[in-house]
Order: sequence, then C-alpha cells, then structure tokens
Amino acid sequence: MVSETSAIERESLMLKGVLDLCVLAILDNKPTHAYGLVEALRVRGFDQTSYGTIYPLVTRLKRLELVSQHSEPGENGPARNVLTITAEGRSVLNDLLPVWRDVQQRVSRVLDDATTSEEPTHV
Amino acid sequence: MSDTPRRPSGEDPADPAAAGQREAITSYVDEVERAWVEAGLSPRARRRLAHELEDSLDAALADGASLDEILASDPHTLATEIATAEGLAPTLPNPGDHPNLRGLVAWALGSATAMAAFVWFFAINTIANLVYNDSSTSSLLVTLIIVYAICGALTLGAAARGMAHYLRSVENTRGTVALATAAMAITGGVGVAVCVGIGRLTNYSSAPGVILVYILVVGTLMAAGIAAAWRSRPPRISPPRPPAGPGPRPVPTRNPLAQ
Repeated sequence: MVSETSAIERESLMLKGVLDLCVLAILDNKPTHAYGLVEALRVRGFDQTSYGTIYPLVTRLKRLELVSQHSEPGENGPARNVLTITAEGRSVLNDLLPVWRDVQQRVSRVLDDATTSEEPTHV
Repeated sequence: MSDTPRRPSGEDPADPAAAGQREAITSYVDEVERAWVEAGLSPRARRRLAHELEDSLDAALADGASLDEILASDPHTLATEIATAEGLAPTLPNPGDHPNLRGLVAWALGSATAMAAFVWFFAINTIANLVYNDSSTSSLLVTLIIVYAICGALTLGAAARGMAHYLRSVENTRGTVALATAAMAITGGVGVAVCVGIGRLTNYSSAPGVILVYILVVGTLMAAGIAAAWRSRPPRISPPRPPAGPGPRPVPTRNPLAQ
C-alpha cells in the first residue's frame, strides 16, 4: 500500500515540467490572476495545487517572458495582477503540446502492455 | 523585516478581521524574507521579492483564497523556489558559513597577524634603521609616515572588505562593518603604539620572541575590539511576530506539485 504522502510525492515528480504546460494552456484560453490558475487547476482535478506551487512557477514563466503581468484595479480590494500568455509563451505551448501528447501515448502503450501481458520480459 | 511598510493602500484600518489577516500575511512574508536573508540575497532583491509576494498574497485573499491555503506552504521552501524561479539561485548557508563570533575572531586574528607583520616590517624595522644609522631627516620621516598611513589604510580597507564579504548575509552589513572597522582601527592603533613602546624597550629587537609578542599584542587587542563590536552590532533580524488572534499558522507541508 502506497502511503498518501508517497503518492503525492510521486505525483509531484511526474508533474515536474508538465504544470508549466498546463498553466500556459490555461492562460492561452483566458488571462487570469495567480489564484485563478490555482482554481482552474483544482477544478480539473489537481486538488493538491496550492498558491505556493503556482506563485514560483508564474515567477519563472514571467522571467522567461512566456507570461506577462499587468495590474488591474480590484473591485473591493487591492489591485489584481492579471497574467497573460505572451507570443513567445504561445509558441512554446504549441511546441510542447505535440511533445506531451507523444510522450503520453508512449507511456500509456508501455503501461498498458506491461499490465496486460502475462509473459515475463527479458532484459 | 523591510524598512518600508508593505501595507496595501486599499485596506480598511477599522476592520479587525482584515487587520488580523494582514498581520498573518506580513508575518508569513517576513518569514520568507528571513530565509532570503539566510540565503544571502541582496537587500534590494529580497525587498523587491517580498513586496511582490505580499502584493500577490493580498490579491489572492481578495480573489477568494482562504488565509489557510495561501499560507499553507512552508516559507523556507517557498523562499527557495521563488528565488530559484527568479534566477537568483540561493544557496542555504552551511552552519560553518554563517557569520559567528568565533569565525570573526579567527578572521580578526589573521588580519592582526598581517597588521603586526606590517608594523614590524615597515614601521619598527625602518625606525630602527633610521635610529641606528642616524640618517633620519625630517623630509624622510614625513615621507615614511605618509607611506605608513597609506599602507595602513590599504590594509584596513582590505580587512574591511573581507569582513563585508563574511557578513554579507547579516542585516545592516554596512553598519556592522563600519562598527567593526572602527573597533579594529582603534584597537589596532593602540596595539601599534604598544608595540612601538615594546620596540623601544627591547632596543628594536627583531628576535622571533619579540615579533611574537607584537603579534599577540595587536592580535589580542583587535580580537577584543572585534568581539566588542560584534556584541554591540545592530540587531540582525527582528524576531518573528506571532499572528494576531486565533488565525491560521503556516504549516510546513510537502508541496505536491513543487517544481
């Protein structure tokens, strides 16, 4: 039985790099603020996503100029920093999407074959 | 932690709940900034990052995030991740790298040895030559005094530069270095005066034992001066403030999606 912590750590390892892709895709769909990204990811099943995860990631994407930020006045509170994907970010997203889908297919093929085959594998 | 307040302008000062949340966020950001101090980030960089983080946390709160969730990440981990994301690549100091009195005194003794060597080689040795050879002229003495002053200032400057590097992660580095340099100059000057007196008493002997006494006198006085300066230095970091009321406390958690 895999402990919950261990499962979370494994998920974290698997998601390294992929979360950037998810954030770029969300921003490509609609500009939003950092907490909007957290909510968008949670709605799609990433329950463990926290603000502490997204903030450094957005910071890095801004530094790489894949995402830009502009301030909009808040309705009842402080100004909101709205994040928008840049042309460079969109280009990276378009480059990475087919790569991710290809990797996803290959991993699925390996896992499906390994879990359905009864033949031992020779190494 | 920062010199300038980070309070957002839109906050209602009469709302105690908002004030409690604000204090919790400020305390959390102070904790993150403390980690940046320990990691050796420059004051300018860490203040910028702290302002940005606090603004962002305020905005997240206004956007509907709960205080619990925005403060859930371990501040130390978050500090490292933000600085890495910024390309500042902080390195957490090893215990041996952290400025402490022992390291500072060891460094001071090294500087004192250099200073003592300077005193013996340039000052006492030259004065002895002048005295024994009876070739001193007022213009030569003036020239020598100027040369000594320049050499002494350079030695002191190099020592201060080394100290500034050693104390780079200490809050108010400039103030601490200025204090320590002043202490070093005063105690070093006293040490030199004492050594010149000893030189007179020993007929300007260059025997190893006498030189060792010079080193010990200057070294001990400078170490004492450094220790006094270290103990009376400006406070390094203000102690963390507990969040007001029963508000949530940051809980160290494993960041499941950490990059």
